[in-house]
Amino acid sequence: MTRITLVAGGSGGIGSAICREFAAQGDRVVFTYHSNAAKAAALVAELGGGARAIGVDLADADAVRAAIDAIEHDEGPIANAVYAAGPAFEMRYAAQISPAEWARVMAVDGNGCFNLFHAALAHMKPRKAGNLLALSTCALKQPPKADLLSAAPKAAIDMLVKVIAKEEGRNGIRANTVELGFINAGLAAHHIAHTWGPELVEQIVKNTPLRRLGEAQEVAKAVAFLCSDNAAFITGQALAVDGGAQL
Amino acid sequence: MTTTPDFEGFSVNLAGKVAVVLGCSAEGGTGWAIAESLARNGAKVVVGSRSLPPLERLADKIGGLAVKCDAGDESDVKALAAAAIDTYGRLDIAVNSAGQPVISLIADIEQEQLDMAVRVNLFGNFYFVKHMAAAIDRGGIGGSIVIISSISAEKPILPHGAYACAKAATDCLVRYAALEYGPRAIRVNSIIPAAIKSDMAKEAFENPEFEAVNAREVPLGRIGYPEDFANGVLFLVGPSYMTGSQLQLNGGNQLTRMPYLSEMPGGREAYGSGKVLGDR
Repeated sequence: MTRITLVAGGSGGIGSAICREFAAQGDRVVFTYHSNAAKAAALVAELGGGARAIGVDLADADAVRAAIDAIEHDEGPIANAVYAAGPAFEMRYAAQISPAEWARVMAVDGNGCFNLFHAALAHMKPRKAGNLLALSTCALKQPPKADLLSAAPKAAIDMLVKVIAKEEGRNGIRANTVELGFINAGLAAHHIAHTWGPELVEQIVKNTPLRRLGEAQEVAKAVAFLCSDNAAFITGQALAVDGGAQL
Repeated sequence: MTTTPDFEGFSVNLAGKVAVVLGCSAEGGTGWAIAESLARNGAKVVVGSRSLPPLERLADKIGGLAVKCDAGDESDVKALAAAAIDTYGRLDIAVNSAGQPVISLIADIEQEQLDMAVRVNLFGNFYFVKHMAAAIDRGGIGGSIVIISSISAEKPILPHGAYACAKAATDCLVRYAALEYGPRAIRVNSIIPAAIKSDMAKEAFENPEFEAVNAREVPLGRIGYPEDFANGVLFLVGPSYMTGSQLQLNGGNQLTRMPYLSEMPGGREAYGSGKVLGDR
């Protein structure tokens, strides 16, 4: 039977690379998107193999539950649930973040990941099989200035994943995160092209031990490995895929 | 009681690559499995250890080269790297699986044991990174170094303190190496195992209670097998954006703890017998 992989936030720069990697391995890929239906439709066409896109607001727990129930009902058991979503936000110092913005980002990202994993676990736990994986950030190892809105919800997600790994390991469920450095895709690619400017990008590269930005495909390979049977003895891992930026 | 998992073959294209694996003379051990899987995926493999006869059997089996090498002797490690260059013309991958168990409580420890603990488990890794990185750098396209560390560096396992402290220092070395060699695209990562069902710990595993006690603390409910580590190495040596990372390959044991000495079957009696109390 074809393995089913669910990628939340699959239409984004990194999410779409993850979808492509799983599709290349022969999985049927189902992904969620929030607002860009046209981009999602184009990705479905590209992926083929019965790929499907579902528009859902991950912050809405009932909607996420309904979406996952529908996938399980229509497509079959979800083997892997990958959280690759994240809200867009302005980079600001903590003092400049409004309480409303903080609440919004924590709800979209932190709650979004919880809602996804919580709904997936309801199906995975009884059949004692499944992999959960969340994209996180290397900022957890080196707290960044002006990037709190990215890092804070990821810190919550990191704990969520580690606790699930500990609680559900005996139930055949593995949970891991991939801690991203500067990847030339998604939100970072947007900032590289529009806001950061060449000098800041040069500085970032200089501060990265491997002296280059990462590629979305390199993230996708790590995600696919952690969700594969080749990583059957790995759980609760926060795997840095950051060119050494955490150092 | 846990059961042996089924291991699927992990495939990465390593054709044309040359690898060194140090610490692989024990059939059914971690280093042995790593060397076999690298060879199976197309790499030419140079295997090193102190004991030559089993090493030659491994080299014959995988079509590689056996080189007698004491991991704690810098000139031996340098010669191991040179053997890869002399025989195959390049080096791309280097894995150090050599370890020297040292068993003593702090209260009883002797200078000789402290020296033994750091010789292979810390200094040996300095020699390894230094000479393997220099050999990899000759190719100018970078490569990958993997060090097998130990969960005992983070989670105490009495009475392995001296061994664990040397491994903790090695984890530190990995971070320094990642920073130093990153600009030349030489990636340095480590694997953190907990209890492994390997040849080194054969005696301990003769008592089934030993495996059960170790597995009890592991969220995934079993202990590690050499093939788990072979798969982890294959992932780390493939093309990637990872350096200075630790791959926790211990079933989630990094989230819990290791068994206490008092919980080990015959733990108190085994301590002081000079026997190896496990492999991690």
